[in-house]
Amino acid sequence: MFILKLNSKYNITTFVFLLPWIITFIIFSLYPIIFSFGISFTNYTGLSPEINFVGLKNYLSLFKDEIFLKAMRNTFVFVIGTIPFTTVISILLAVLINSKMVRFKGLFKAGFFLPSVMSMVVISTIWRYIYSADGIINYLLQTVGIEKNTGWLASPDTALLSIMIMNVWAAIGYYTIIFLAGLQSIPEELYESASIDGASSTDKFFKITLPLIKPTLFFVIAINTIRSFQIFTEIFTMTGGGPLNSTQTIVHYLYMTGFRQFRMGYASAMAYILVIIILIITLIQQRALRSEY
Amino acid sequence: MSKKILLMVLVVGLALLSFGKTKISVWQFMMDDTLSKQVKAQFEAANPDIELEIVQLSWATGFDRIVTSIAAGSAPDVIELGNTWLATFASQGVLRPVDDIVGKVKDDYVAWNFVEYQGKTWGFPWLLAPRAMYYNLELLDKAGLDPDNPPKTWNELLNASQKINALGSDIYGVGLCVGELYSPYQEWFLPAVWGNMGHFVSPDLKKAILNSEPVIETANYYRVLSNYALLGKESELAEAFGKGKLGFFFAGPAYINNTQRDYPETIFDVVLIPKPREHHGYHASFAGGEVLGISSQSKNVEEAWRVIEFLLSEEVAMQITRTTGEVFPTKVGIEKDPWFESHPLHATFLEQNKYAVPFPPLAEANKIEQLFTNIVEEILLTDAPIEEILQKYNQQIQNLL
Repeated sequence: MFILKLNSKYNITTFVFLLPWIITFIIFSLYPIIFSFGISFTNYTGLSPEINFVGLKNYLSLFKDEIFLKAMRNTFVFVIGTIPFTTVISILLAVLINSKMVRFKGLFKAGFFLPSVMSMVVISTIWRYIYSADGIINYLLQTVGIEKNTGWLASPDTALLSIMIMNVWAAIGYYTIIFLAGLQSIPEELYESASIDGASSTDKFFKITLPLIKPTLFFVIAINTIRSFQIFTEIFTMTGGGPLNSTQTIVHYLYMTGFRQFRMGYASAMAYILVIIILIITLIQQRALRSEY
Repeated sequence: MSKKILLMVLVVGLALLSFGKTKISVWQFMMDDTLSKQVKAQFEAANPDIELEIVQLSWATGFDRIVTSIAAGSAPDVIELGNTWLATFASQGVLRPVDDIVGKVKDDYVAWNFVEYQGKTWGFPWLLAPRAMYYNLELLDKAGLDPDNPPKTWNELLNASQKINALGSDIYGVGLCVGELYSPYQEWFLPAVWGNMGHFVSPDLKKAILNSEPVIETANYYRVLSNYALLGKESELAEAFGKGKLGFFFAGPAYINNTQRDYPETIFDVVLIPKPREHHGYHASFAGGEVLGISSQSKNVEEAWRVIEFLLSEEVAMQITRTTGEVFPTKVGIEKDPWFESHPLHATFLEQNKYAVPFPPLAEANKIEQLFTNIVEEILLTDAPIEEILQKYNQQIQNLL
């Protein structure tokens, strides 16, 4: 059956056009995935050609590794602490921009979307100065009589929270645009009918807008979950996981372990733990999506 | 007709010449594109049989590029490494021991302790960047201190920091690094331990002695000093210093030019790092530096050495010093170079270099460095008892030795 299909002119053409992508996928995605899974059972350093099979040792050691457990906790705090805010603020902004009372919609859209097209390294560097010991936040606090002799990123009590706030600020523009697209697919007649029936703005939001943008909502939450679990650039640029591992996340610790401590096998095991976590959560989200639609 | 033949012979000759060239690649951090081109042209003019490729790495991603290239079996012939990385790379077999070559230049350069690991030499000390103490003359004056006599001992530094800190809510006595990977322990804490005649590892590099008296005393002093300190990343402290909000801070020479350029109104000087007491200890500094190693994957060792010899030369190394102002050549007698006469602040770093100590050559140096950052941050950012902190990390370091 397959051969028959392959022989048809259409399928061969399709295959030829897909070939560059298939080759790229095999070399740059499939091979590294399989290779890293293989080395997660070894003590491969990345530098030395010597590789020994260690079985499940890397995986078992991870659950005794205090820094990894802290990184896992921080990652969950980051995910749980940012996604609700990002989602709610994005919906509200999208509704506001979509409403008739706001003029210059293009300007607002561009303004909110700007951080999304900026490099995260640039954003992180700017916020690093905002949060610095001598930065604008401490300056403003000083003007109201509050003194702080460390930067916000230099204190274990505030570092992760500071990065979370920055992340919410940087992410809302992208999700606002997605929600805007969802809102614009809702027929105007529904709102007009509701108005005739005497529905308030709140009723319209909760009874029309929110139910009809649920597919967008689930998409945003799922994408944001995956991206948040993989947080790296902000941590790498702003804190390096410190102070005292208070901003250490799974991907950053994975990077430090693999590339700075030359424990590629151990780092690969960490990557697969992360894969499993993301897979489980995505499956749960997918099931929730299926039950609704 | 004869012209055509001549042209063909010329083309064939040039082609043969270029085929006969050995290509040597150098991956380095210190030379920008302009300087690299100059150095390449100078070298190739003197060595027509070698084609030199100089790649500039960034501090943000360079380390990863080196590791990835080694893992892929495509390492460059010559690699610039930070001196704290050398033992780790040597222990992984990615560098070629160069004991058979060093004899040719051993007496001409200093800092060979940068490149020793387990009794062998694994590279060539290229550039130096010790740390010294920057201080703001105006703040000392305002605090009733003598700007011409900056602190020379720990007690003097503590008193001066206390007085400067009292000048205003946005003025701080001293800056101490936290919140990043290397500066918290390199800029002063570990050098202070050394200056206090202590160490974190025994001379045979087998026993962790972080819980010893000199380290405990240093850690206690550090915590007391932090009461008059601004805590932050090195770049933040440098900025605060430039704005005239910081009495003292410890760093390499990199901030001299930046501060003079960005904050010309701030009057500052650089002096030796204070020692513990007048009759105890010494003005220890962290011996930061760059080394050049030959990759064990290189098939052109002789040519790689010729490139290294050229890069080590006073002419090239001083070009880097003049361009960056961040590092100094390892060449013996470099202090006689006229450039230092017109750059007295930089010259102080050469003086400070006499008291500079490199990180011990440990295979697990990169893991221990991370622990050291945690140690300093626990001392400065928590109230945990000092001895408990040191005991905990002593055990962790012992496990790595």
